[in-house]
Parts: sequence; C-alpha cells; structure tokens
Amino acid sequence: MYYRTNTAYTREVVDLRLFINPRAALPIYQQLVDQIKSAAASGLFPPGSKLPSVRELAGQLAINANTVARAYSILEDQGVILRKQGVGTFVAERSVHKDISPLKQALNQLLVEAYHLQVTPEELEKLFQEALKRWNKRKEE
Amino acid sequence: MDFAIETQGLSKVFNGRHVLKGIDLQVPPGSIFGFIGPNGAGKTTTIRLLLGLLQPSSGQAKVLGLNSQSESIQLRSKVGYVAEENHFYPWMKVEELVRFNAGFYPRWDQERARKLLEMFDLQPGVKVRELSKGMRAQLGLTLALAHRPQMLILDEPTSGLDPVWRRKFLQILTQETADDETTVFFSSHILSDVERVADWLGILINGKLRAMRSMEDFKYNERVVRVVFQHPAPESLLATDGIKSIQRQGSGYLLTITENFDEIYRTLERTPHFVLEAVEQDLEGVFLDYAGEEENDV
Repeated sequence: MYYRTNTAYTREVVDLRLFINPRAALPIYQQLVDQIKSAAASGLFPPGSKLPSVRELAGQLAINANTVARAYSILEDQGVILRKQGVGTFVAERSVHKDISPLKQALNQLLVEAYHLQVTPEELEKLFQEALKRWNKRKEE
Repeated sequence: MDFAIETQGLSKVFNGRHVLKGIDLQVPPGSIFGFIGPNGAGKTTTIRLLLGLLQPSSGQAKVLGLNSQSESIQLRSKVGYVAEENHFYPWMKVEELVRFNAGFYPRWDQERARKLLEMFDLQPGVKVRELSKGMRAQLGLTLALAHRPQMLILDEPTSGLDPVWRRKFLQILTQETADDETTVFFSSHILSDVERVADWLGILINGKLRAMRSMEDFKYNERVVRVVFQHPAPESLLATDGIKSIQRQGSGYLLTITENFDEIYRTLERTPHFVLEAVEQDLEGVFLDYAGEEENDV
C-alpha cells in the first residue's frame, strides 16, 4: 500500500508522473486533463493501462475529489479514457475525437504566434515537418 | 438547493465589540469549502456559532438542515469537528481516547478508526502528551472521521504544521472525504492549502463576508488588467460592473476586475489601445487585495 511510508505522502510526483500546481491560473482539472492526454498520446500511459480511482488520485495529489472526477469525465467525453463500471478507469485503445475544434483552436494560436515572431509560412511548414518526424521517432522507440 | 451550511445575518457581539457583522454563508453539499481570513477576522467565532457552542447576537445558522441553536446536540452527532487546539486528556493513551470518543457516537466505526491510525502511523499505546503537534492534528482528524460524519468542520487544521505534516493531513482528508456526500468546511490562513483542496471559497475580513464563490469562478474572474489606451479612456467603460478598482498613471491603467471578466476584456479589446494584458492572480494576491481594501474603509 502506498500509505505505508511517511515519505510517499510528501511527493508531488505519483507513479503516474502527474504534477499539479495549485497556484497556477490554469484550473487543476485542466492541468490533469492536459497531462493525462499528453501521457496517453506519447505512450507513457499505453492503451489499457489502469488509472487510479478518483479517491486514490485525490489522496495522492491531496486535491479535491470533485476536481479529479471532473477531469476524468472530460477525458471520458473526449474518448481518452474508458470507465468500466466496477472495474476501473483505463486509457482507451485509441482516442476517437469526434470534435476536432480544440485542434483547430491550437492551430490558430500557432499561426498567431508565428505571425508575431515573423516566421514565414514556409518556415512554419518546415518546423511542423520536423516536429512530426521527432514525434514519430519517439513513438517508435 | 439545500445547502449543507446556511446562515442568515449571523452576528456576534462580545462586550460591545462586533466580531461578526451579519454574514450569509451558503455551503454547497459535497464541497470542500475554504473559509479564509486574517487572524481575528471572526473565523473561529463563526465555527463555534455553527456548532451551537456559542449563541448568536442576531441571525441564525443551519447545518445539515438542523438549527445550530435549538438542535445543537443532534447536529454535533452528525458533524466531525476538529478544533484549532486539540485539548485531549494528556494522560490518556491514543487507544483509550479512541474508546472514550466512541462512546459518544452511535455511528462510530472502530474499523475506520483503526485504519486511520494506521495510515497516520499513530501508535495506539502512546500517551497523548507525547504526541507532536502534527500527530495531535492527525488524531483529531481520526476521531472526527471515525463516526462517519456527513460534514467535517475544521478550524485551522494545518496551521502550525510543517509542509510534510500538512501534505499528509491533506492527503488523508481529500481521500477520506472523496465520496459525494461528505461536505468539508475548513478555516485557514494557509492559502496554498486552500488553493489545493477547496472548490469553494469564502473570504471573511473584519467580521464581514467579502466574497463567496466557487474556486474556478474566483480564479477566472479575479484578475488584474493592464491597459494603455490610444485615446482618453472612455468613462463608461471604466464604470462597467465588475471593475473593482482603477489605478492610473498617465494613459496607463491598472484595472482590478472581480466579476464579468470576459465582457470587460472583450470591450477593452475593441477599444483602441497600445497595451492590453491580463495578469493572472493567485489566491494570495486576491486575498491581500480584499484585506487592503478593508483597511482603507476603516
């Protein structure tokens, strides 16, 4: 059990490698959503891995259980995780994103930043190709 | 909605001094409500009034639908209370104190008490006087949780504890109240703890409840905006509801916003400006703001 030793309590990092910063303006549930999505996409949490229960994660991070529950339901709606009644919460086999508006928003943001940095469309495309290559390489490893 | 705690015009006068000046609290069931305020703001007085340990000078309080004055006994059997200073009998052993407390509560869960002691690493055979401050706080939480209360009321539960003990305390607290039914009301001036665990917030300053809203609403709306207009600032814009204070230096303005952030920011965006940026505030910044304002009122 994880509450055997004194030191386990004090660590911000759980076996899940989630960090939260309560003082940040980004709400805690959003921090959890972002990190679990990123961990699932990068293969750090492979499909089928079991996530802690709401109660466990709330206890491990010492945060409000309502916050964890909220993050989990957003992730479930986005197809990132699956909740099986009475069994637990798991990383989904493949996220089925029916709504790609968050992606479009992120792309817009990217274009705004590129404009201010005076990055040309050609340079931007090159950067994108490079990032994609790095991403694929990392996933193969 | 039936609130877990609801007060109306709750006031207390001690020897002619108005300690609590008519507060209207509404604590949603299942929430963790952080009740913050400087020392001497009236937090402990509020808690003692909620529990029926003090009589209000005017106004009334209900906890779990029970009247704090007339139904204080029933109320206390449903509420787990951890006082700021835990005056346990110092000569008792931990296990004796647990047995002693069990006698007062029909819903006492000995198995839960045993588990909590184990989680906290509290030795049943140790005498209370030998416990450190952190251990006594944990013992207080154990005794409060062991009778399976629908509500926990904690008065400055983590003050005086070092970060290691504080984290451990908060971990057990969040884990053991994770079900939807348990409401937690805790007073604190350790704002980082409140930011971490609370989803609702009340700010008590000088006996008055200055703000009460969800943590999310709070973080979203309580912000400072720095703006430098190209033309003289439109008066109507600066008079918009939700702008709490305005500081000016030349054509530069610092607007402290407390509500209505989206609308105000959009209007600012449409007004010709050289600089426009929203500064994120943490709870401490917001709190100091409220506290400073109150000082100016006096």
